[in-house]
Amino acid sequence: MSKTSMTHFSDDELMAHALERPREDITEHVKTCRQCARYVEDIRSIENDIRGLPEEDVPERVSRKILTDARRKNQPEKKPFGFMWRGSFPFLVGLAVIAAALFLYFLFVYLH
Amino acid sequence: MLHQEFRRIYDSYSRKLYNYALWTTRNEQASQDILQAVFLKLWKQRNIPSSAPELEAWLFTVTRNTCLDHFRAQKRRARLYTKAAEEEKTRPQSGGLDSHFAWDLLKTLSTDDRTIIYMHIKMGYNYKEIGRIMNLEENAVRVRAFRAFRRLRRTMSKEER
Repeated sequence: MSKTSMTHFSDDELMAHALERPREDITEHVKTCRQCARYVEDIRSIENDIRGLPEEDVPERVSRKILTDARRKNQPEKKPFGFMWRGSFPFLVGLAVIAAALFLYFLFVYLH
Repeated sequence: MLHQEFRRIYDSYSRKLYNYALWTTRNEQASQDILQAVFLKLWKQRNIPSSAPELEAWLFTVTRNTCLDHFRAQKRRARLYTKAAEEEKTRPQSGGLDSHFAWDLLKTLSTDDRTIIYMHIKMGYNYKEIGRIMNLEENAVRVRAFRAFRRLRRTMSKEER
Protein backbone atom coordinates (compact mmCIF):
# COMPACT_ATOMS: atom_id res chain seq x y z
CA MET A 1 0.00 0.00 0.00
CA SER A 2 1.47 3.30 -1.03
CA LYS A 3 1.23 6.30 1.21
CA THR A 4 1.08 9.93 0.35
CA SER A 5 3.60 12.39 1.65
CA MET A 6 1.06 13.50 4.27
CA THR A 7 0.72 10.08 5.91
CA HIS A 8 4.11 9.10 7.08
CA PHE A 9 5.58 5.64 7.51
CA SER A 10 6.24 4.43 11.02
CA ASP A 11 9.68 4.54 12.65
CA ASP A 12 9.99 0.77 12.40
CA GLU A 13 9.11 0.73 8.73
CA LEU A 14 11.60 3.46 7.93
CA MET A 15 14.24 1.78 10.05
CA ALA A 16 13.74 -1.56 8.33
CA HIS A 17 13.90 0.22 4.99
CA ALA A 18 17.16 1.93 5.92
CA LEU A 19 18.87 -0.94 7.68
CA GLU A 20 17.44 -4.12 6.22
CA ARG A 21 15.62 -4.34 2.92
CA PRO A 22 14.71 -1.19 0.96
CA ARG A 23 11.02 -1.08 0.04
CA GLU A 24 9.83 0.37 -3.22
CA ASP A 25 6.86 2.20 -1.72
CA ILE A 26 9.08 3.89 0.85
CA THR A 27 11.66 4.76 -1.81
CA GLU A 28 8.89 6.49 -3.73
CA HIS A 29 7.46 8.13 -0.63
CA VAL A 30 10.73 9.68 0.55
CA LYS A 31 11.12 11.40 -2.80
CA THR A 32 8.30 13.72 -1.83
CA CYS A 33 8.26 13.54 1.97
CA ARG A 34 11.03 15.54 3.56
CA GLN A 35 10.31 14.26 7.06
CA CYS A 36 10.60 10.56 6.21
CA ALA A 37 13.55 11.21 3.90
CA ARG A 38 15.35 12.92 6.77
CA TYR A 39 14.66 9.97 9.05
CA VAL A 40 16.05 7.42 6.59
CA GLU A 41 19.05 9.66 5.92
CA ASP A 42 19.79 10.00 9.65
CA ILE A 43 19.64 6.26 10.25
CA ARG A 44 21.91 5.53 7.29
CA SER A 45 24.31 8.21 8.38
CA ILE A 46 24.53 6.75 11.90
CA GLU A 47 25.06 3.29 10.43
CA ASN A 48 27.87 4.57 8.21
CA ASP A 49 29.53 6.41 11.08
CA ILE A 50 29.51 3.28 13.21
CA ARG A 51 30.78 1.14 10.35
CA GLY A 52 33.62 3.59 9.90
CA LEU A 53 34.79 3.50 13.50
CA PRO A 54 38.38 2.27 13.71
CA GLU A 55 39.25 -1.13 15.12
CA GLU A 56 42.19 -1.63 17.37
CA ASP A 57 44.89 -4.26 16.98
CA VAL A 58 45.60 -6.54 19.89
CA PRO A 59 48.80 -5.17 21.45
CA GLU A 60 51.78 -7.32 20.47
CA ARG A 61 52.83 -7.98 24.08
CA VAL A 62 49.35 -9.29 24.91
CA SER A 63 49.37 -11.70 21.96
CA ARG A 64 52.87 -12.83 22.89
CA LYS A 65 51.86 -13.48 26.47
CA ILE A 66 48.74 -15.44 25.57
CA LEU A 67 50.55 -17.63 23.03
CA THR A 68 53.57 -18.17 25.27
CA ASP A 69 51.41 -19.10 28.24
CA ALA A 70 49.54 -21.63 26.12
CA ARG A 71 52.76 -23.16 24.80
CA ARG A 72 54.15 -23.41 28.31
CA LYS A 73 51.02 -25.14 29.55
CA ASN A 74 51.17 -27.55 26.62
CA GLN A 75 54.40 -29.12 27.82
CA PRO A 76 54.10 -31.76 30.53
CA GLU A 77 55.49 -30.32 33.71
CA LYS A 78 58.67 -31.96 34.88
CA LYS A 79 58.39 -32.92 38.50
CA PRO A 80 61.52 -32.43 40.58
CA PHE A 81 62.89 -35.43 42.46
CA GLY A 82 61.96 -33.94 45.82
CA PHE A 83 58.36 -33.58 44.66
CA MET A 84 58.22 -37.25 43.57
CA TRP A 85 59.67 -38.39 46.88
CA ARG A 86 57.17 -36.28 48.82
CA GLY A 87 54.36 -37.72 46.75
CA SER A 88 55.26 -41.33 47.65
CA PHE A 89 56.16 -40.59 51.24
CA PRO A 90 52.96 -41.99 52.85
CA PHE A 91 53.33 -45.19 50.81
CA LEU A 92 56.95 -45.67 51.94
CA VAL A 93 56.03 -45.07 55.57
CA GLY A 94 53.22 -47.61 55.29
CA LEU A 95 55.58 -50.15 53.76
CA ALA A 96 58.12 -49.60 56.52
CA VAL A 97 55.45 -50.07 59.22
CA ILE A 98 54.25 -53.33 57.61
CA ALA A 99 57.86 -54.60 57.30
CA ALA A 100 58.56 -53.73 60.94
CA ALA A 101 55.32 -55.46 62.07
CA LEU A 102 56.18 -58.62 60.11
CA PHE A 103 59.73 -58.61 61.48
CA LEU A 104 58.46 -58.33 65.06
CA TYR A 105 55.85 -61.06 64.45
CA PHE A 106 58.42 -63.52 63.09
CA LEU A 107 60.87 -62.60 65.84
CA PHE A 108 58.17 -63.27 68.43
CA VAL A 109 57.27 -66.62 66.78
CA TYR A 110 60.96 -67.61 66.53
CA LEU A 111 61.73 -66.78 70.18
CA HIS A 112 58.77 -68.81 71.44
CA MET B 1 44.06 -29.12 21.60
CA LEU B 2 47.33 -28.72 19.76
CA HIS B 3 49.21 -25.47 20.00
CA GLN B 4 49.00 -24.99 16.22
CA GLU B 5 45.22 -25.19 16.38
CA PHE B 6 45.14 -22.77 19.30
CA ARG B 7 47.36 -20.41 17.31
CA ARG B 8 45.07 -20.66 14.30
CA ILE B 9 42.01 -19.82 16.39
CA TYR B 10 43.89 -17.00 18.07
CA ASP B 11 44.93 -15.50 14.74
CA SER B 12 41.39 -15.73 13.38
CA TYR B 13 39.45 -14.35 16.33
CA SER B 14 41.67 -12.39 18.72
CA ARG B 15 41.22 -9.04 16.94
CA LYS B 16 37.45 -9.43 16.71
CA LEU B 17 37.14 -10.46 20.34
CA TYR B 18 39.47 -7.72 21.53
CA ASN B 19 37.45 -5.06 19.72
CA TYR B 20 34.25 -6.56 21.00
CA ALA B 21 35.60 -6.31 24.56
CA LEU B 22 36.75 -2.76 23.87
CA TRP B 23 33.31 -1.80 22.66
CA THR B 24 31.74 -3.35 25.68
CA THR B 25 34.06 -2.19 28.45
CA ARG B 26 35.60 0.92 26.87
CA ASN B 27 38.74 0.06 28.78
CA GLU B 28 41.94 -1.14 27.12
CA GLN B 29 43.47 -2.83 30.14
CA ALA B 30 40.24 -4.63 30.97
CA SER B 31 39.85 -5.74 27.36
CA GLN B 32 43.35 -7.19 27.34
CA ASP B 33 42.65 -9.08 30.56
CA ILE B 34 39.37 -10.31 29.13
CA LEU B 35 41.07 -11.55 25.96
CA GLN B 36 43.62 -13.45 28.04
CA ALA B 37 40.91 -14.99 30.19
CA VAL B 38 38.93 -16.07 27.13
CA PHE B 39 41.87 -17.77 25.47
CA LEU B 40 42.95 -19.37 28.70
CA LYS B 41 39.48 -20.83 28.98
CA LEU B 42 39.67 -22.03 25.38
CA TRP B 43 43.00 -23.67 26.10
CA LYS B 44 41.59 -25.48 29.12
CA GLN B 45 38.42 -26.47 27.30
CA ARG B 46 38.28 -30.18 26.50
CA ASN B 47 35.44 -30.14 24.02
CA ILE B 48 35.82 -27.31 21.57
CA PRO B 49 32.95 -26.79 19.13
CA SER B 50 33.97 -28.39 15.86
CA SER B 51 32.25 -26.10 13.37
CA ALA B 52 33.46 -22.53 12.79
CA PRO B 53 30.09 -20.82 13.51
CA GLU B 54 29.67 -22.77 16.74
CA LEU B 55 33.21 -21.98 17.81
CA GLU B 56 32.68 -18.31 17.01
CA ALA B 57 29.45 -18.24 18.98
CA TRP B 58 31.21 -20.00 21.87
CA LEU B 59 34.05 -17.48 21.87
CA PHE B 60 31.71 -14.51 21.80
CA THR B 61 29.55 -15.95 24.55
CA VAL B 62 32.59 -16.50 26.77
CA THR B 63 33.85 -12.99 25.98
CA ARG B 64 30.47 -11.50 26.77
CA ASN B 65 30.27 -13.37 30.08
CA THR B 66 33.80 -12.32 30.97
CA CYS B 67 32.86 -8.70 30.22
CA LEU B 68 29.86 -9.05 32.52
CA ASP B 69 32.15 -10.47 35.22
CA HIS B 70 34.32 -7.42 34.73
CA PHE B 71 31.34 -5.12 35.27
CA ARG B 72 30.29 -7.04 38.36
CA ALA B 73 33.80 -6.77 39.79
CA GLN B 74 33.87 -3.09 38.93
CA LYS B 75 30.57 -2.58 40.74
CA ARG B 76 31.91 -4.37 43.81
CA ARG B 77 35.03 -2.23 43.72
CA ALA B 78 32.93 0.87 43.25
CA ARG B 79 30.98 0.05 46.37
CA LEU B 80 34.22 -0.24 48.33
CA TYR B 81 36.11 2.59 46.74
CA THR B 82 33.48 4.92 45.36
CA LYS B 83 35.85 7.78 44.86
CA ALA B 84 38.49 5.75 43.03
CA ALA B 85 35.84 4.24 40.81
CA GLU B 86 34.51 7.66 39.93
CA GLU B 87 37.99 8.76 38.96
CA GLU B 88 38.38 5.68 36.78
CA LYS B 89 35.07 6.41 35.06
CA THR B 90 35.95 9.99 34.25
CA ARG B 91 39.48 9.26 33.10
CA PRO B 92 39.64 9.49 29.32
CA GLN B 93 40.46 6.18 27.71
CA SER B 94 43.35 6.11 25.30
CA GLY B 95 42.86 4.82 21.80
CA GLY B 96 41.10 6.04 18.71
CA LEU B 97 37.51 5.35 19.61
CA ASP B 98 36.92 8.12 22.12
CA SER B 99 37.85 10.81 19.67
CA HIS B 100 35.01 9.86 17.32
CA PHE B 101 31.61 11.47 17.23
CA ALA B 102 29.95 8.11 16.55
CA TRP B 103 31.57 6.72 19.65
CA ASP B 104 30.22 9.60 21.71
CA LEU B 105 26.79 8.64 20.46
CA LEU B 106 27.30 4.97 21.26
CA LYS B 107 28.30 5.78 24.82
CA THR B 108 24.71 6.77 25.46
CA LEU B 109 23.56 3.17 24.89
CA SER B 110 23.46 0.38 27.41
CA THR B 111 26.19 -2.26 27.21
CA ASP B 112 23.85 -4.82 25.68
CA ASP B 113 22.49 -2.43 23.08
CA ARG B 114 26.02 -1.40 22.16
CA THR B 115 26.95 -5.05 21.81
CA ILE B 116 24.02 -5.68 19.49
CA ILE B 117 24.92 -2.69 17.32
CA TYR B 118 28.54 -3.75 17.24
CA MET B 119 27.82 -7.32 16.24
CA HIS B 120 25.25 -6.33 13.66
CA ILE B 121 26.97 -3.43 11.95
CA LYS B 122 30.65 -3.97 12.50
CA MET B 123 30.70 -7.73 12.34
CA GLY B 124 27.81 -8.42 10.05
CA TYR B 125 25.98 -10.88 12.29
CA ASN B 126 22.28 -11.25 11.69
CA TYR B 127 19.77 -10.96 14.52
CA LYS B 128 19.46 -14.71 14.87
CA GLU B 129 23.19 -15.18 15.34
CA ILE B 130 23.34 -12.34 17.85
CA GLY B 131 20.39 -13.86 19.67
CA ARG B 132 22.21 -17.16 19.98
CA ILE B 133 25.24 -15.46 21.49
CA MET B 134 23.28 -13.18 23.81
CA ASN B 135 20.66 -15.72 24.69
CA LEU B 136 17.82 -13.63 23.27
CA GLU B 137 15.05 -14.25 20.78
CA GLU B 138 15.75 -13.09 17.24
CA ASN B 139 12.88 -10.62 17.37
CA ALA B 140 14.01 -9.25 20.72
CA VAL B 141 17.42 -8.51 19.21
CA ARG B 142 15.76 -6.70 16.29
CA VAL B 143 13.57 -4.66 18.60
CA ARG B 144 16.57 -3.68 20.70
CA ALA B 145 18.62 -2.77 17.63
CA PHE B 146 15.84 -0.52 16.38
CA ARG B 147 15.38 1.01 19.79
CA ALA B 148 19.11 1.69 19.97
CA PHE B 149 19.05 3.37 16.57
CA ARG B 150 16.10 5.47 17.61
CA ARG B 151 17.98 6.56 20.68
CA LEU B 152 21.12 7.32 18.71
CA ARG B 153 19.10 9.46 16.32
CA ARG B 154 17.51 11.35 19.19
CA THR B 155 20.90 12.01 20.75
CA MET B 156 22.30 13.10 17.40
CA SER B 157 19.43 15.54 16.90
CA LYS B 158 19.98 16.98 20.37
CA GLU B 159 23.71 17.43 19.69
CA GLU B 160 22.99 19.19 16.42
CA ARG B 161 20.67 21.69 18.08
